[in-house]
Amino acid sequence: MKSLFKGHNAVIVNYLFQTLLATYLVLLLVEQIWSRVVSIYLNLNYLLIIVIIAGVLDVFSEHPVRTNSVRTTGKDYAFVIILGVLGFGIIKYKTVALGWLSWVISVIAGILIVLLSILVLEEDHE
Amino acid sequence: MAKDDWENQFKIWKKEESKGKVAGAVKAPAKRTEKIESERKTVDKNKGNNIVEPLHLKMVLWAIPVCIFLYLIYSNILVSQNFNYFYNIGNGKEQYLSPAARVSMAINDTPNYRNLTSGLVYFDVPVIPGADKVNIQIRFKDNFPKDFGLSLGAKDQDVWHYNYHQLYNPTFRDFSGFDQTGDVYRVDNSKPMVNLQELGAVQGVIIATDKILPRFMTYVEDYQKKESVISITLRGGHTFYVYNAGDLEMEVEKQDLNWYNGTDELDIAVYNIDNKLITNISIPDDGIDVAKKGIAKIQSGKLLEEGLPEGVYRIEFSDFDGLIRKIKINTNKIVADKFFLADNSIYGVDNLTVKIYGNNTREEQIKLLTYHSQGFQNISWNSEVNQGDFNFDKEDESLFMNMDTDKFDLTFTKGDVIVSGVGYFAFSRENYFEPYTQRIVGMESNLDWTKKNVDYIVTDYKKPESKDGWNVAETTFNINEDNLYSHGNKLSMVFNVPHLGQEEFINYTVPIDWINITVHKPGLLE
Repeated sequence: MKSLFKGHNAVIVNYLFQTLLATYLVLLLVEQIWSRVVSIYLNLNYLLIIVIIAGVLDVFSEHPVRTNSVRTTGKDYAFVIILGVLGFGIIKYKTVALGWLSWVISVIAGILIVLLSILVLEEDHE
Repeated sequence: MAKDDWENQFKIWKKEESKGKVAGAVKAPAKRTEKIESERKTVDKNKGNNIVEPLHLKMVLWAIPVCIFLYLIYSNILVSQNFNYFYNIGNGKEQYLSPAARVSMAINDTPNYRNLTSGLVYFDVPVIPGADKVNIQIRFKDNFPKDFGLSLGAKDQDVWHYNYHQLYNPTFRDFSGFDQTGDVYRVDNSKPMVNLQELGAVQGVIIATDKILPRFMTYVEDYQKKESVISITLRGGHTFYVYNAGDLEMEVEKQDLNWYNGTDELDIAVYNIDNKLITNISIPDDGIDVAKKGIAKIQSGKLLEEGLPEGVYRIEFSDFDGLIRKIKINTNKIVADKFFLADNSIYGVDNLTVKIYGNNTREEQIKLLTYHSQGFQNISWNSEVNQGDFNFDKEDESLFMNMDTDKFDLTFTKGDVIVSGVGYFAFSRENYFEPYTQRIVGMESNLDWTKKNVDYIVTDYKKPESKDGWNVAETTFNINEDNLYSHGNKLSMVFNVPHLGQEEFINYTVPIDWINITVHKPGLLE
């Protein structure tokens, strides 16, 4: 498949897509936790459209071929555990009305986040 | 050199190399190894990325989310904002008012509008986090019978409870005769002219208001932890004020009348002086949820709350189709602002002579009302300086007894009478006490009554502007001061149109054209 962007342009597009996607996800999370803090001032749908466009462009850009995998370090595992705890906390906060069931859901979700993240990390390592 | 010699030499070299004793040749490989390792890491880092994006480009791309977050912080925290919502009620597409059964279809006229056909009609207002005020403007037509008006309520508790502001009341335009400072109108000229902040310090006065004013309770010196039993039958909802310290125990007996379809639970809630719910119970329906007049069983419920600080507590009995047959409570101080006496054969209870006690701080009127001729009677009254009789013989019409200043008692030979006034009533002289330093009552549309019974009026009611037969009324709710309760970032509002719930006004409606809502959010830089 012919790439639309190559070299420096491909790198820019890729970096732009990652930045916008991370921004969108963080804003979505903030909106979920504190309702109307974002949506009243910024229509997230417009940002989503921009993210999608950037993503499509990134798909059609040149990507470097990885020859060796990156080693997983202790920091990566620590980061994954922090994410798992954060995910547990957010889900617990949003499901608190469910009573004891929210504990079950939150713990399972936290464990899933950790395990899936480790799986992805290990896969890269292999 | 023989092969064995070479082997021996190699072994010696190997041994000494492992001990680090071989100079020069050992150090050179270590340095080279470090250099090679460093280069390997660099290669690994840039592996497959033989292009490294410049730092300034990274900074430009990172500026996008940083700008977005800075904008959100600026909007949410720093600056004040006004959010406007315009509800075109007459627009057939959107239905802002509910329930639909209480609102007519859109009427295509100039302007288009809908009619309110029933007394309580609701709509929601979006509330932004951090908002402090909600301003509501409503365009409507004056289609009200005499002495009736329109008020707007904002929900202030998670149960069904609203804080009402008068939007329109024809009687209120007569306030022009009273001295005014801000929202305070002085009705009794013998009282000092004060503003709202100073009014709280004026004791022993009667204030009529549509706002929630702070209350200051009195300290009751002759309070005793002693059982009081009220065996007088009362009908429907009542509000009692008690003085209590420590444990509060109460037993209640109820009996359903079952005059109407539906279940008849009695909810009893205890609030402290800050209107905070302390405890509540519910006595369920007796199992008959259809209209079936007859002698129903008596049910009881108990309420207990331990360790309460000394002070005044408000006990609210919800309105229900039934009778309160007995109240037993562990305090000698209990009063109410109204009694619906029900010891009457019409309720399946024997007639009973009942005496109630009160104490006027000024000349006042006692309001009496009955819905049945069975309530007609001669009421005897005694004060410390006078006594007399009052012939109570009107049905469905409030009658007023003038009462002197000071302690008094009223004797009723039978029930089916609603007794109310600006003060409090008790079933024994010992039970009587003044809960607060001021008496605060609701605003009445009867101006004569207001002049005879009230010292001050506190309201921010503004007469609506009229144009082309339509009125535009406006009121503002303070979310924090009025303790408004929003759920899911929506504030529930309700139109209260009392006359639409009465049978004689069944053909009346209230046309509404639009509702304009402004929600104000303050900022740090305001």
